[in-house]
Amino acid sequence: MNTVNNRKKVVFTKSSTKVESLEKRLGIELNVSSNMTISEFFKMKGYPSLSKILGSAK
Amino acid sequence: MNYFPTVKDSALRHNLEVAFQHIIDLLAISEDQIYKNKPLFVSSFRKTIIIHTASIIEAMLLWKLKKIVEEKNVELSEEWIYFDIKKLCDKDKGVEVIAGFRRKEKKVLEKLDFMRISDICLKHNLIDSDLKIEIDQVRKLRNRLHIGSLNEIEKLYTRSDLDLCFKVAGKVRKLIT
Repeated sequence: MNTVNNRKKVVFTKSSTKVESLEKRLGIELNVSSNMTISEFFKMKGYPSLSKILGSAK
Repeated sequence: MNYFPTVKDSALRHNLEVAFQHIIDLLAISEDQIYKNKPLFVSSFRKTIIIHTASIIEAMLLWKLKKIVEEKNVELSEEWIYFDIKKLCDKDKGVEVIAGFRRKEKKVLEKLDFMRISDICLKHNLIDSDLKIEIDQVRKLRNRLHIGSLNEIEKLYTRSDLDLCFKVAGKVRKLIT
């Protein structure tokens, strides 16, 4: 889940790396294991370059 | 998660993070089962993602350029600004003889467009010519938002169009880390 503190800083919590969190937040159905990471999901869908960026986030 | 930790300008970093999160959200939505047989919807999502990705690339290049200008005292070249132009007479069809004034002004970084930012980055060796070509490909994809200037029926945007944009964003992001 993502939160905005005083509109100054976006904080991405650890749960936001999982597909499950995206599905819940956006109300969508991606038809993959909810435990899959977002990085793995986008790699599987044909976006290896985006997956790399996601995988390298601090 | 912080995708742009090395950007010290907090407003820019926030805007980059928000735009990037928006890209992830839009891309995930475009993969939702309800859009499986709706190529126009998916293409429209992809077009929006291209616009956001190009904005991120442009912002990272501009930030890098600003840093180099500030830290290494790189002088940007001056350019002529023309004003008070008056027509003197016609020359040929569509050609006029004019008179006016011009003065030299230093380039203002914030007023540069995407193409000029990448041109100056190349000139100062912040990017190489291969990356410049790829940045131009992204810029041209982004510019298709101006549908009035398209000479053809709008295309459907593909996964590979998006991955090109993400690849370039990844390369430019490496430049600023």
